[in-house]
Amino acid sequence: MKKFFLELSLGSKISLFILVVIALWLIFPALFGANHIPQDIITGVQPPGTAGHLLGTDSLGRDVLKLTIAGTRSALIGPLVIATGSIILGLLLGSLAGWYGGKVDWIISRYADITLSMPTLLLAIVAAGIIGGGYWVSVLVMTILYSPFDIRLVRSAVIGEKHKPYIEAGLVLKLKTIRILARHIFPNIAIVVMVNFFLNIAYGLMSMSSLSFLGLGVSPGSADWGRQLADSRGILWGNPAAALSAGIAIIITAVAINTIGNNFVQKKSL
Amino acid sequence: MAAAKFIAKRLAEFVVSIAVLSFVVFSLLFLSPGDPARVLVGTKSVNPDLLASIRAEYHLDDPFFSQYFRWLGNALHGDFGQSIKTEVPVTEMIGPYLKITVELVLFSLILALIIGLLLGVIAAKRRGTKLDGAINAFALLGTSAPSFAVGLLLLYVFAYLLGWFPIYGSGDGGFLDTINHLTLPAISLTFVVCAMLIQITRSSMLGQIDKDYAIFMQARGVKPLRITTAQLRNASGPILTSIGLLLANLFGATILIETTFALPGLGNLLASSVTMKDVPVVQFVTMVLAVMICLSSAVVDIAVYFADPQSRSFKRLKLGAES
Amino acid sequence: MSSINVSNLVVKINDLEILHGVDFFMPENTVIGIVGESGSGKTTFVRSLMGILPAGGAAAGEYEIDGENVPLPGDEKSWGNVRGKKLGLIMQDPFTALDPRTKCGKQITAPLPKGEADTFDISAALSEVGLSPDVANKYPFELSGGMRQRVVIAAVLALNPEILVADEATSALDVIIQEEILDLIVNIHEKKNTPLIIITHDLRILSSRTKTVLVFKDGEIVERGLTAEVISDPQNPYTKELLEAGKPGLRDVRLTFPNSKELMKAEHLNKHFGAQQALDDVNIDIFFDESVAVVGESGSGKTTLARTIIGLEQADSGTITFAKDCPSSVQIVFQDPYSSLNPAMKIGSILKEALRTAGRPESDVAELLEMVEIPFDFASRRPAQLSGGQRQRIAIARALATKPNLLICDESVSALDVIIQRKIIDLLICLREKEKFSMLFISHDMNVVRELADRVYVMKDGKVVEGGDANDVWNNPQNEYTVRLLNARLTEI
Repeated sequence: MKKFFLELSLGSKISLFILVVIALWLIFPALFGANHIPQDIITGVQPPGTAGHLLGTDSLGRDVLKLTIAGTRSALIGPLVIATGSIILGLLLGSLAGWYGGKVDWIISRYADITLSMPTLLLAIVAAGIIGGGYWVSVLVMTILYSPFDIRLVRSAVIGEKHKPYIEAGLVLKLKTIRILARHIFPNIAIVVMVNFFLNIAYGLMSMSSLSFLGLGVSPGSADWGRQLADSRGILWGNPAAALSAGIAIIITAVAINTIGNNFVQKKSL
Repeated sequence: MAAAKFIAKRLAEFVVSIAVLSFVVFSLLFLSPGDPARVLVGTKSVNPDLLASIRAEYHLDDPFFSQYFRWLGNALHGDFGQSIKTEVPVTEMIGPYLKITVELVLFSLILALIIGLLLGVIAAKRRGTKLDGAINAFALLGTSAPSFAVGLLLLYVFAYLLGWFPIYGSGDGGFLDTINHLTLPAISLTFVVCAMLIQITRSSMLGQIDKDYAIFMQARGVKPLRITTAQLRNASGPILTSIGLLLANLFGATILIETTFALPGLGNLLASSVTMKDVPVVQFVTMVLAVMICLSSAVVDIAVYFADPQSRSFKRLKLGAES
Repeated sequence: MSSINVSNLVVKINDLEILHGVDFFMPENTVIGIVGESGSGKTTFVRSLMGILPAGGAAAGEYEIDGENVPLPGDEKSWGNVRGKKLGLIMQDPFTALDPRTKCGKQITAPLPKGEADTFDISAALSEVGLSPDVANKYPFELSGGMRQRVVIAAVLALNPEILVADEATSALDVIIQEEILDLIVNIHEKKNTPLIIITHDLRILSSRTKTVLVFKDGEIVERGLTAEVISDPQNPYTKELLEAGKPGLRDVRLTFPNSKELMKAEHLNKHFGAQQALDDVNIDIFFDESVAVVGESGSGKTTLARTIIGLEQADSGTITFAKDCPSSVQIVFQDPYSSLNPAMKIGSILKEALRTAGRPESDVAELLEMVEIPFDFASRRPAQLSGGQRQRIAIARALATKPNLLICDESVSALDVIIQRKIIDLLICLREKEKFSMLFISHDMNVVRELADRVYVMKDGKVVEGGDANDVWNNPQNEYTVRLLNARLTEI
């Protein structure tokens, strides 16, 4: 573990550190006093550097730093669920299609083709907006529309491995299919799948905050990065930090996640 | 024959996608909470007579599928109903919106293609150098930044702080003024979509760098530019495919950018209609955007197919070694 | 009339020294052979003479062509006169050496200046290498391997190089085509008086085609001299080992005991892949304790036959029957040692898994490793830490873990360097004596077959064209195709 950490590039180390901080924000907002953020509508907007408010306050007089920390949860829970759900669907349907081929493959592949051709963000916006109950509806829509990438990825990885001699040697030894998949194929495609998992979290983060930026999924005034950006657009002059801190939080988190994901890619190519 | 079969298959896929989409889009009305008739009433005061007349007008008491096919039939004849808010037929109202979106998307597409291909090729040719590192970092930032956040940052710096560009709107319609108003939105869009193109161009070019044919060309003293051109041609499959994806991303991101910069385009119209639950407008705009996205990806796939002489030829000889 | 003079050539790739000070003199109008196993630096050597090292590569030393100094490492401009014009390089693999998306004619004229390219007589260039003019308008994928290599040669000749370099120029081709291409290259050498450098791992090509030889090992030249002398009386121990390994063994003593009991019988096997008939009414049988070889070129159906017998492919029609009183246990060793073992598993786990399927205790791993002469501590290593030969030994151990009646070896030694190949063949012979299994050996190499097989089947285009006792086939081939196959390979050292 220690060796693993030391071998990471500087960028990856910084990214790892950022992700640990973000994870703390996500799991223990109370540590940062972000579980309860008092409003002060009378004083309203204050610029960064105001006493007691490092990044100033927003139009409701809330502390911007605490608001940003509190927004982590809403910004990241959805993407984590999306990435996890889509990888489960991908592993399940992708390995079925890749391993069995034939009709099973045809059906699953056509399903993936069709869902892949759907414009993800567009449908998520429309569904979340019209159906209402936004957040989890859009998580569901995005999980379904993200999964074809994982399905295709796992399918082609399984097909790529399936005809390799070491798998055929396993077939000749008459190993059970489930054992070949679990012991021989999955460990060898784990890295590609992991990389895509990280990519999905980063994309999910961007898509989900896009939705809340448009006012879908989360109610006005609630702590969420996208929402915060939208709500504070009007006070860009009074306290630019209110909008920009949320925007920068999204960008830095996504950069960190992508950097860690890329780290796996480089490991693989070594 | 093979080519005709491929085109037919790809177009069939397009039609099925659009059919599935149309079904989803139509279902929206019924997926929204509450009585569809009330949704269609919009903000007008509700009374039982009005509701009844709307039910009759929209055949809301018919079975679901017969409603769908009626809607689909009308849609194919260009009738998507009328806006709940403005009571104008939706097909008549979107012209000006469409113009802005298409201008914005084309502007960004051209920028993204030039920047993405150029930086991608340079990064691959100079792999491992500082320049490559800088281009990679630029691309990483681009793939990690949502368009609206980039837009807001640019807005703050170039419009608020520096005052170089107008803050909102699409201008008075003059060419220069349009360019002036579209520049920041287009840069934001370009930044987020060209990142992917850079990464894909770089990695597919890298795949060609040490190929035997390139070494063989080098060994015969072929000019470096000519070798790069050959490599780019061989790397064109994934790059062209990614342009389809890039267009889809552009159409998605434009919704956010138009909202950020208050540009009255299709995306902005969609976002506001979604908030107002103006279902017919949402249905129509979604279909328009979706058709553009699906069509561009189909066109790109067909272009990829024809760019490869091997798939173009009728007889596909399999002459590789057996083992 | 050209000569090359190189002294103290050092090549580094990313700080790793590949060549450690090579001295080389090439007199005019000769044929020099360069031998050595993969990784010995022979390809890096000729590439450094043309300034086409991979990224991160740098050459240093003194280098002259025709008495003219060539600066090292040099730049695009200084190499301009050398690449293609002084030295013409014929690459190894015709399947990858041509740009897949450019027509052959255009590829041939690519290095020529605009004006020259327009007036260049492509038809003449193509006919010089034995191709018809219409090849100019074809893409490489429309041509066979041999034709592609002819296009490669035409592309090299278009620049009238003063010296020709053939870097394993035939090793990716089938044996019969190999001879044709070699003849073509040597004819050009003779006709134009162009000095020729032949890089090869194949001692038969060396002995039949070259006048002098350089032996490369680990980035140095360990022996040089007249080919005939080096072959008859090698001085360096490595050269001795290399020559020893390359000599076809003479099997006087047959391991097999005439055993009339049939282990397996395949009758009327047919198999199609699309329009291609991979197996066309194939009948073969294997007796207990017998070693049977199937030889043929790529595309002959021999691999399909092996895969059908073991059940990895299903025949369209025909039957495969095993002797009643013996369980049909068949195992296989594949060609490519690098993908034969699961990269994610340790050697020990790989063998244990195989032992478990046979109901043997996991502790037998030690016995298996000893059997294939691999130290026990390798059990905790992963495949990536093993060499190709070691991996192939593990693959053999895995196959023998189940104590099979029949071991199929599908080109199991052809991806290995000649010395390693020798050792694996010896191991198989020794194991067969000890473990008493029948063997089905699939190969394109008549010499390997000669050593291992009691009986031989020759396949062509999915059909068995000849079958019989190995010595009979070898000494008195009946089929014309077998004769060609043998002639292509029979040049004894």
